[in-house]
Amino acid sequence: MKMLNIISAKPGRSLKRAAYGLLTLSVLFTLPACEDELQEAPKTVAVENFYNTAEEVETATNAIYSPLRSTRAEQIAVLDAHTDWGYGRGSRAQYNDFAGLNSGNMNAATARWNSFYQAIRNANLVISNAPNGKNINEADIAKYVAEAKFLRALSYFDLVRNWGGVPIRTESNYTEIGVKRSTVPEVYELILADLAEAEKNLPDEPKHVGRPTKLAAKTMLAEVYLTLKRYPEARDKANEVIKANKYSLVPVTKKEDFQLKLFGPDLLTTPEEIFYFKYARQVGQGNFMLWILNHPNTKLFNFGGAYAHYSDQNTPFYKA
Amino acid sequence: MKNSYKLALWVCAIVLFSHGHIQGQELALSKPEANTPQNKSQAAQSLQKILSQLESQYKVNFAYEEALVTDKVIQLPAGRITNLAKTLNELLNPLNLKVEKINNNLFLILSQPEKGKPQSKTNTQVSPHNSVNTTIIAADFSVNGKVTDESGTGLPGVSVLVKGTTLGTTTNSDGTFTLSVPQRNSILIFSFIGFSSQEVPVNGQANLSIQMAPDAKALDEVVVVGYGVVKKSDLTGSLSQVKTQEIRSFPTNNVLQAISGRASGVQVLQTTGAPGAGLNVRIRGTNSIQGGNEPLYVIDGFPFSGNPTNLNNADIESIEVLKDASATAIYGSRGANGVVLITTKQGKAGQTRVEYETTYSMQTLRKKLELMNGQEYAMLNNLQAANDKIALYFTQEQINNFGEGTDWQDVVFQKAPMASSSLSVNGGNEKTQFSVTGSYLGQEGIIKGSDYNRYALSTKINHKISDKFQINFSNNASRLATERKDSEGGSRGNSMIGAAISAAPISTPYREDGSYSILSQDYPFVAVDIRNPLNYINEQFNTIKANVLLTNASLLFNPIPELTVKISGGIENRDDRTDNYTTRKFLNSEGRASVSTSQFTSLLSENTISYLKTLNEDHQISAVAGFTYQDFLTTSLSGSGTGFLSDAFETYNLEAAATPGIANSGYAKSVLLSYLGRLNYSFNNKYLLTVSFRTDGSSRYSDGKKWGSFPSAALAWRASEEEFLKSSNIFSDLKVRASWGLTGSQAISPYTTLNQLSSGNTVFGNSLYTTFAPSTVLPGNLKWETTEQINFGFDLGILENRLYLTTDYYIKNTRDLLNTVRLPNSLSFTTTIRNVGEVQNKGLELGLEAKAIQGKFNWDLFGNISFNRNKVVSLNDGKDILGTSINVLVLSDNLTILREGRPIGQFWGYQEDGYTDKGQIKFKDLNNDGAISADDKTYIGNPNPKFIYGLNSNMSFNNFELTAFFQGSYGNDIFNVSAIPSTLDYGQGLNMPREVFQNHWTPENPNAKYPIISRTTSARASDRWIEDGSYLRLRNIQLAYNLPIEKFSLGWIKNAQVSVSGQNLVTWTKYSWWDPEINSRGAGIDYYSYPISKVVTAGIRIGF
Repeated sequence: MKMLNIISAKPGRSLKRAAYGLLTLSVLFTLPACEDELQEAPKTVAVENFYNTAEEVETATNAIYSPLRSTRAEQIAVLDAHTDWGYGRGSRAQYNDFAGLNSGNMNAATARWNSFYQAIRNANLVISNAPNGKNINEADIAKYVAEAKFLRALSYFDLVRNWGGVPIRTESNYTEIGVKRSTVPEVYELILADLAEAEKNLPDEPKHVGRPTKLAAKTMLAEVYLTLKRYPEARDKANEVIKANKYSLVPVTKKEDFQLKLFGPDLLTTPEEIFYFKYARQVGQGNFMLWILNHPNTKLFNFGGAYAHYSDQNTPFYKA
Repeated sequence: MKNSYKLALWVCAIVLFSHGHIQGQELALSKPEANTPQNKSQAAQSLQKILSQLESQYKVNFAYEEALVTDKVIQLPAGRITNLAKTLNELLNPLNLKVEKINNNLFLILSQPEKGKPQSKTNTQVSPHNSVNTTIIAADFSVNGKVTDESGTGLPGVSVLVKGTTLGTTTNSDGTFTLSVPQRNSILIFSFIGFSSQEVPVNGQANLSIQMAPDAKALDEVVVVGYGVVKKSDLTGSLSQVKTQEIRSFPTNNVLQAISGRASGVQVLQTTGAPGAGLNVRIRGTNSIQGGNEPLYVIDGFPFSGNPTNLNNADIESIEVLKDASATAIYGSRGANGVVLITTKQGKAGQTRVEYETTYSMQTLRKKLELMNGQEYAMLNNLQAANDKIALYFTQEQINNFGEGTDWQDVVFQKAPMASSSLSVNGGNEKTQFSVTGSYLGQEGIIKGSDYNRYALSTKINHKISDKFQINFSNNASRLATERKDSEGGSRGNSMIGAAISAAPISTPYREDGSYSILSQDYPFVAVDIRNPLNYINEQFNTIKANVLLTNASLLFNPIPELTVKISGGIENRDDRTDNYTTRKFLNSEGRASVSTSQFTSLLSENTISYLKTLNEDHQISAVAGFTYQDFLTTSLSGSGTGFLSDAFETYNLEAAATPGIANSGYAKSVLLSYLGRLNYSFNNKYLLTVSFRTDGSSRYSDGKKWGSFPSAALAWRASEEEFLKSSNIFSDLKVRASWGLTGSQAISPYTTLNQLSSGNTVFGNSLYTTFAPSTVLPGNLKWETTEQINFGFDLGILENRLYLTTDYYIKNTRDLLNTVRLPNSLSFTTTIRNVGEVQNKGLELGLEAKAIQGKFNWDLFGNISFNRNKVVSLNDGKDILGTSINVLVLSDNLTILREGRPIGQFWGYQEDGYTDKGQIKFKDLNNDGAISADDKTYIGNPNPKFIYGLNSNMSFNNFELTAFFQGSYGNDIFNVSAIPSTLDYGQGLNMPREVFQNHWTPENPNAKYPIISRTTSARASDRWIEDGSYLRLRNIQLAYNLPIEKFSLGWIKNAQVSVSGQNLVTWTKYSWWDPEINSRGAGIDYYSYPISKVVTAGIRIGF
């Protein structure tokens, strides 16, 4: 229903007649079609009608990366400030003598917690919805579910090491509001199960640089086993990766080698990389870690920097 | 003699343009006759006949006294007459007559006075030549006089009638009149709309001077209500009216500032003092937690979106604030926060009026904060170093050389001018009335570089097509342009306003090479966060431009006089564009640009039928019913880029960016469908009943919950109309009112109930890939918030309404509150919205008008005071909701709490308990668990005032007017967030108030205001930051002088006024920071915000 143009009476015609006509028309047109007008039709997609094709499932899988990529720098900076070699400055000074959560560091901790669980929810959406897709083949389903499980395992691995036992949310309970806290072994059990499936169904070659592969899953399994002190299994998984003979260390002899051969904005990947989060020189897509670490005077990073984390206690103030 | 001509002119004008001003005068204009004039036969003919021919030939009208033209004969020249007035004058002068051209169609024929012949003693009544029933009474005495209003200005158009006769006239443009009366002891009746009628005996005086007093009762005054107008005397609901004189009394950049303190129950909260900054208006308190608390603004019947920033004060005729449910329920789902009806200027039949007004103002910072000078700064920082046992930053010799240093407040603030002008033309005749107002407001801000400009053009045309049809049209077009300098908040001086206070006085704005100083590099102990405020002032631009159009048209149809069918449609359109550019000279910037645009369109169709009928004198019924459709469509587009080779591009070449941003676009549409009805019934003018009903359907709510119903009812009893009070000399008016009703609030945005996926980006390799995921808000199954309100009130007028008291008591309960409910964060939907909770507001409003002194010296007073008590009645499962989270590094916490039984906005924090023996702040361990934790937080302040008040005094004497307007707020607290970094973040090289230097903890001064100056000093959200925010300010004081135009014999100027005024010249407050009227982060929170200025204004107003 569209509204009437109320001043559309044509010259020459009797205004009176026109007015009568318009009045009648507007009554007739407005009354019946009401409920239709009240139906919302956003120009977006909704959960209920998505996850049907491989492309849709891939964009949903991509959404698992965003929260993990954005929280990664904060996660490293906070943990590094707890060590004996790293120091936070300014707002990050409080992490140096971290002694549990307080009102000052709570917000930063909440942000990290939320990012991990946001990745987990987005993974659960893929794991739960992709198999019901109307227009997607079994191989693609297996591949994307494996990728989601790899990233879910990665998230729980950070969570369990940060906070111990945490609530476990999987595709079976991700919409339930109240979920009780699980124990540390339960969390590791899920991590291992997820990685096992990832190891099985992930591709040998990634579709894009920055997505996980079978070997990435094996590498992570090795690290998880190592953390769990299950050394023989750790050894075996690590050995499988080594024997694949795909990766090698990049020789580094001087400072510039770090900047140009291992990191740096122009480097796409290196033989060292098994699984890396990727960042780009795009607004909102950069690596926040550089901003935290960099002193603006270095001119190495075009977004300035906070110089909020340093590792040389004797000369805490950067000298250009 | 001259008067008789003017009289005739006025009589004609009035007859032409209106009915009803003149009683008992049989007047008519000559009418075109059917016969075709025969120009060829130019024989001498009767003048009357010739005039009649000319009327039809040249499509003109002549007006004349019949006696003047009878028995006169003229001969027309041959051929077409090119200049009718000239030709006729040549012909008529010999007959002692002359012709005055009034306009292209109207000519007056008058007798020629300079012929020296005494004018015949005929009545000055103008008689039509074709009238047959005119009685000419021989008059024997001529009276002259002048009618003025209470300020001595001549009143044109006042009807003057000889009592007991049909003889009369009206005053001319300067208020003078001449009338021949039959007897020396005749009595004249003077009457004029809006003034009390007066009877004046002539008593043989040839010269009378009459001053009209405004009608004290003014009960026939009409006020605008939703979907109609009612007589003020018939009101059953609670309503405050603010009129054009008050709105225009001093220049404001937002018309709503002009109603602050003018209307009881209305709290206008200035968010900041920035030019063009927003305002929050609270009518009878805060109802909603999740949703907006702004009233609905209705401009000329069009429910407007947001604040009416498109209007200049000069555009406005009146503002009506609807407060109780009886008045607001007709606006249904948008009425819960009150409704503000804005009526723009409308043309009036009669002589065309031109009004020009201009003001020029100078704004200054109300007060400067007393900060440390260079020496004190250096000493305080040395003290911090000593306390923290690190090497001192400065030697004594360095300190001695620092002196005063830089005053950064002077670097940031300036004296700023503001100018406003408006030109308005309005007039019309009985068929067509028009009004055109063009206006301009230009304001520079007291922070350098900020400004606000508004150009507005308002047009209104009403045209009566026939007895049955009328068409109304109104249009407001405006252009707003704002340059914002409002980098606010932050910590350690990383915002412009933060830096204006925090920058070290021993630093200078510029380095020796002319570049900006980098404050954090001047001294190694200075925090890296702090910015040179000149970065923001000179190197960062935030320009907002908006074109706003509001157009309304309606067609009225009266099939029978009692019934009006109104079909109206309107369009609101708003195009916004915001340009942000940070230059390459800004610290650590390679040039950052962003542009965002939005297009908002709202279409409205309103169709109403109203009925007005009086039955047997006793029963009066008026009713309105209708249905409306309104939709709201917003689309947006934005783009950005970082890294520019040159600042030349600004925001106009995003594609030149080294790192382009991702373009964004958006779409949101909602629809509101409504049916409404109202019935007013009055019996004997004593008993008044109003019932109204509206049902709204909104697309924003969940299926099955889209429709809401909003009924209301009100009763009023005009006791003063009862016999036992009618004869009273004391009570001139007494009305008791009671009302009940339900209103709603829309509170949520479109699509809130849908489970949408939003898009984003991530990176693989070096490229962007799209992501789709839900947001962190879980969609809920939602319906309206409903506010139930009861209102009791009475209006009492004493001594001919010289004292008029309006009182209202109300209780408002808002239920089904849409509330953000926290969910376990592990759900990842961290919050959802539910219909839970209830809030109550109750209060008392008093308004008192007094005509303290009447006469040559006139003194009117209007005062109002409003008490409101707000409390949260229930929340989801009784759970507290923490609000207003701030992070100023030295502390990071929530400042407010929503808790059952406490008011909205409750400040929540720790109580301090002196200092430890090391000078650290001690906090009270309220739960006695031996540790200070969030469980020790308590109620530390309340931003809601105990009462708000306003007092306006108008004095006039001869041509002088003195207005003083006081406005205040009592019992409200301010959470001074600015003071947290600025008085307690030690060791960061921040400048601070001098008080910190003078009064901090030392072993010798253990009870100091501030703790030990040490890096280790830690702060909490404690009662230290709560200050009394009560204030009383002289909002406006104005002295105006009305020039005695009549003495200058400048006939073309009707009135002229010059004035000087001051706004916020005096403020009484205990608040320590710049200004108590700041609500930058919600009510009562001051966080490095743009302060309000004080202003001196000069103005001129001229009417033609």
